[in-house]
Amino acid sequence: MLALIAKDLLLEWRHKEQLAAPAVFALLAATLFVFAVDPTPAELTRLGPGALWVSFLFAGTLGLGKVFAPEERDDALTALLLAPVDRTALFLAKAASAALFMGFMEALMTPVFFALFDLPLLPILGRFVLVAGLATAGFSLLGTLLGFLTSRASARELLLPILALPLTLPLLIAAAKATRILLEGPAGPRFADLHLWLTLMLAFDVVFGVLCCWGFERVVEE
Amino acid sequence: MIPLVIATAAAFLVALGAIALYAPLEAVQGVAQKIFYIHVPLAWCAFVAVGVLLVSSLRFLRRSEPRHDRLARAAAEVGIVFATLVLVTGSLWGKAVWGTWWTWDGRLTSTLVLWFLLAGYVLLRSLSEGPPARTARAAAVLGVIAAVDIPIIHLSVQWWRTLHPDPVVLRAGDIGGGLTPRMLTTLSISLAAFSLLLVTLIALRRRIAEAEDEVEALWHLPGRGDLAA
Amino acid sequence: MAHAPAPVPPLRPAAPAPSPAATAHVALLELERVGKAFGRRVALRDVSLVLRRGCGIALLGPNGAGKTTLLRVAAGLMAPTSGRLVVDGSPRAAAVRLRRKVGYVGHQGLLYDTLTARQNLAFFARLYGAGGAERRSREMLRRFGLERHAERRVASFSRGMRQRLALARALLHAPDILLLDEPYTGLDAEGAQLLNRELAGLLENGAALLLATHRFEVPLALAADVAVLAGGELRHAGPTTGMGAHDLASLYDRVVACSR
Repeated sequence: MLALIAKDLLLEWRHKEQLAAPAVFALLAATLFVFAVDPTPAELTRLGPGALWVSFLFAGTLGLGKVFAPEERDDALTALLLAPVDRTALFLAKAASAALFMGFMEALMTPVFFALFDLPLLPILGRFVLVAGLATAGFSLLGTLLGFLTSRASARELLLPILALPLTLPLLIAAAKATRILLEGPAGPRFADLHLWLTLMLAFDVVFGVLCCWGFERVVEE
Repeated sequence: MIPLVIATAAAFLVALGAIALYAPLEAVQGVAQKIFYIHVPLAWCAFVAVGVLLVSSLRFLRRSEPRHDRLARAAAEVGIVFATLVLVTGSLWGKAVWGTWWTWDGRLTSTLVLWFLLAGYVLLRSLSEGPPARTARAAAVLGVIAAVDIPIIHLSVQWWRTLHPDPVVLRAGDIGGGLTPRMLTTLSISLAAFSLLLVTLIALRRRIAEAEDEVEALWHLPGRGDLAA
Repeated sequence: MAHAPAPVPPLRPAAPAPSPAATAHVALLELERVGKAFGRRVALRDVSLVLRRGCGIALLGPNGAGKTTLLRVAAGLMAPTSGRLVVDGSPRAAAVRLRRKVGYVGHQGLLYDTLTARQNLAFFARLYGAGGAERRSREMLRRFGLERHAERRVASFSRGMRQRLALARALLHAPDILLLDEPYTGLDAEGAQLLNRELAGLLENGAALLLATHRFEVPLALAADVAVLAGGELRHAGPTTGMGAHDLASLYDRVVACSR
């Protein structure tokens, strides 16, 4: 499985510029949001988390289509399937690569976003990483499977977000709410709800982790 | 097929009659409340369609029999029609009662997301260009995932915001609370009529899907391989 | 249309020859009445074949006859809709047990074109869990005459070089069961010779070979048996002993003409 991830990283390294594109897109989306809404500094605490996560997930869908692209170009996936590798390991390696790319984009953009929105990142960093990790894991699991399901579809760039974004709505809601609660601090009115959102994301990750492995196995065998 | 269509038509005549003539006028909402007898059965049918999608997708993944796939396809397409109507009637009712076309309340919003999921399913099927067997398997997996996701989405949307009054009919403890017996009877008749409509539409759509598959198969008769390839 | 079954040469069992070394010809992979249908489309119908140690079978047939489907089923990439696979005498989890044993070459290269030739082979060698992945991949590059291009990306390869690399990938783990779909496509004379040498060596070491091809001279060198597939059905199976390329071509024409 490590060999699979290492190969994906190597492949991606060959296209470094593709790694930058989602990050630039996320930044652009957030900038447009500020122009469109023109929020006051106080409103940014309320609206910022939503803008942040919408940008991240939109940018995330850009990366998903590429997860399986190198496997399809010369049907390398068939060679993977022939190898004595468990299908579940194959799928999880793909999802892990997707999560790494998305996490890389988030790590790059989060400080920029917090600076742009003038929000304090350092005090909440530890718990924000937890929120981001849970959201990214779930999004990558579902997104990787959807990327595979849509691999033979035309207009895939369009179809993938149409499928991925509604299905991962619980993650968007939970991540945005949790981030806002973190920003409001322990004195905020709904700090006690934090664990609720974290649990929701964890449950989502577990349910779809299992379901996606199962689904991958069903589709990959013709 | 024809008896089914006739039965549905008859049931609808009865249901419309009951809604118009038999059901009492509600004290607060007046005539506008009568859309309730259409809105609720529609919502019921949309969710039943998703249930059919889930079960037939699972069966198809287990057995690979095309008939399960055709049923899933039919359920999704009919489901999207019902979900659209739920949103439209809900919107009309909201305008009359709350004075607004749309509120971002829990149930209305989950229905909107359901609509997106079914639309995504239909789009995946129509945009896929690979071998039909592979498209069918991909769609079946998506059908299962979407159906499992719906309760989770519903829960998260509920937590996200709840404005809607508690479900009027199925409140724990007192089934039919707030509804007079006549209202309940009308609702039951309407529910039956819409359920029949659901069955009829799915059956018809499935028949069309069978015909489509037959035409498709004609292109690939054994011995014509080199012509079709 | 094939509704009137024309006289077809009698179907003989795949390898009846009771040679003195018969005990060595153990069945590695058996296809038992395998069928594959996509909905109402029938791609394979009741195909039975036995792949034995050290034996090669040439698979002939017109385009669309089901050769590729048969090879993909035999490789465990597709589950048959009827019939079953038997691996080493047991049908249990056949597709999973096939994975380590099968070397498969398809129409596409099954390679990553942004990686170099060496990286491709090293990656797949690591998947097969063999120690010394680097050493093994260098050896395969040398055997297929690619060592000078080891550090070039596959994207810059010519068609023939790509095919050589695809073959090197498939034979990397010295598989027991070789399933080759038109492996000569794009190869020059030297490449074809290299391939023949490799295949002969593997057969000698007890591998089984199923080779789909359109070249009639190939089977005579490598395959003791020939199977002809048309319209998804096995129309002929028998030995090639004593046949020239011309005899095989006329046999093929006769079988295929009868099945139209």
